[in-house]
Amino acid sequence: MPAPSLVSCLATALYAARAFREHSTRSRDPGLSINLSDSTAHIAAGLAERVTRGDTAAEEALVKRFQRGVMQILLSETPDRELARDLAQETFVIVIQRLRSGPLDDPLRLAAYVAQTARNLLIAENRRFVRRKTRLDPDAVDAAADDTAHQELAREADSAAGVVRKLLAQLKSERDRQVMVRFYLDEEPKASICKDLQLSDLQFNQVLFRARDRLRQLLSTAGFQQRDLLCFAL
Amino acid sequence: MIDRGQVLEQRWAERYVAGQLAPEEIREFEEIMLEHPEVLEQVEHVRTLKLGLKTLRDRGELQELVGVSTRNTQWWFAAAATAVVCAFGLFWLKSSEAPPILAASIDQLTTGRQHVSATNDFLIARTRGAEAIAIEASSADPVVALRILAPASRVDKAHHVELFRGKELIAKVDVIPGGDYLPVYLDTSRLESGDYSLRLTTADEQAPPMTYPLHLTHK
Repeated sequence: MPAPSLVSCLATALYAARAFREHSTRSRDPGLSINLSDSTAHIAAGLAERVTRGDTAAEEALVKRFQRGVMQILLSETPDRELARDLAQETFVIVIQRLRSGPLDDPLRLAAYVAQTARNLLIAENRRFVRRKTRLDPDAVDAAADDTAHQELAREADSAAGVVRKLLAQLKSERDRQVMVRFYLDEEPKASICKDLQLSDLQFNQVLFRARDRLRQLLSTAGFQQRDLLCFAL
Repeated sequence: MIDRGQVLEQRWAERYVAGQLAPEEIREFEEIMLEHPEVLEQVEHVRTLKLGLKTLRDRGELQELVGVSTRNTQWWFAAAATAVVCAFGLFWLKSSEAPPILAASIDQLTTGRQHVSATNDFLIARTRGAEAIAIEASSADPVVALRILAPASRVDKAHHVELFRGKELIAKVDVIPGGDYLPVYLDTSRLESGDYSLRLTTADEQAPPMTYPLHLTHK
């Protein structure tokens, strides 16, 4: 792996400055006013630089930093966890190869680059699936069905159901349990739930906050991290 | 720092998992999620909740879990409502209850009505011939005072006084002797003219009952 050149370091600095200006402008956009933390973006940019310099520890750190998030991005588009795992691995292979080949145009946007790579892979996979779909042989698909994936999905569903069952049992108010079901499962609008259950915005937020806080405690008490439930290890 | 308040307030994690964000918002949110573990954790929690709730619903457990204490609540609510209704009913019955026909004091007879006085006062004593005591009442003065002379051996004992018409018990009252006699007040406005009898027994039922015949007429 070649050592980073002075030119590439300068380019990184220039891109960082430009990205910072762009980000500052974007943060003022009232339509989407979320402030990215400069510190986290700079940490990621530092990782990208280290990968470019050939630091394998940085590659590992990069994977560790983004793997759960990448999995969530992929799971937002596909329920197939095996596919999501495969695509996540491909994502990191592509990102690391890209960084090894040279610095990103905008290292401060490494997270955006990782996310977009994952999405592109998923889009490509979906296109391939659509193409294959025209030649699908149902019998062959059944025969080739991977029972392991179903078992894993069932285990994850069991784990989630167990945690949520305990959570519902801990919610003493029927109203709070109704909020959970209507908001998270039925995806009913907040305004509609508040009106029906005569809740203020504050009360609604408190219900969700308390429920999620208890969920966090339950997951912690159960001795497993969230990644054990819905994520993967490379 | 990320504006965590906005992410929470606008429920970006929930909207993201529900697929309710616009493409540009998705791109922005995913970038934030990758950089901020607390936002990622929210997304994971939301997904766990959805998966758990869906699994429970698919298994037919959800309704019971959401409604377990619903039934308890409903039971308690029903019990409380019943108690309130009963209390109200008793109060209504009590308040709307007709004043007694027979009472140990005139105040008990006048409950809920304008004050009345017993202008007619009858001393009732047991006679050997057991003739009926004639009581003449008027609508203007319907309450009559009956002072029943009790045997000397009973003057210090509480008594049950019962009013019969034939064999039908019309009214009864417990009375403490007031001196040498038992004071009883009778509301004649609620009685038809005719023959009645007062039956007197001691509360301890050690002495045999004594009966006093009455004949009531309205002016």
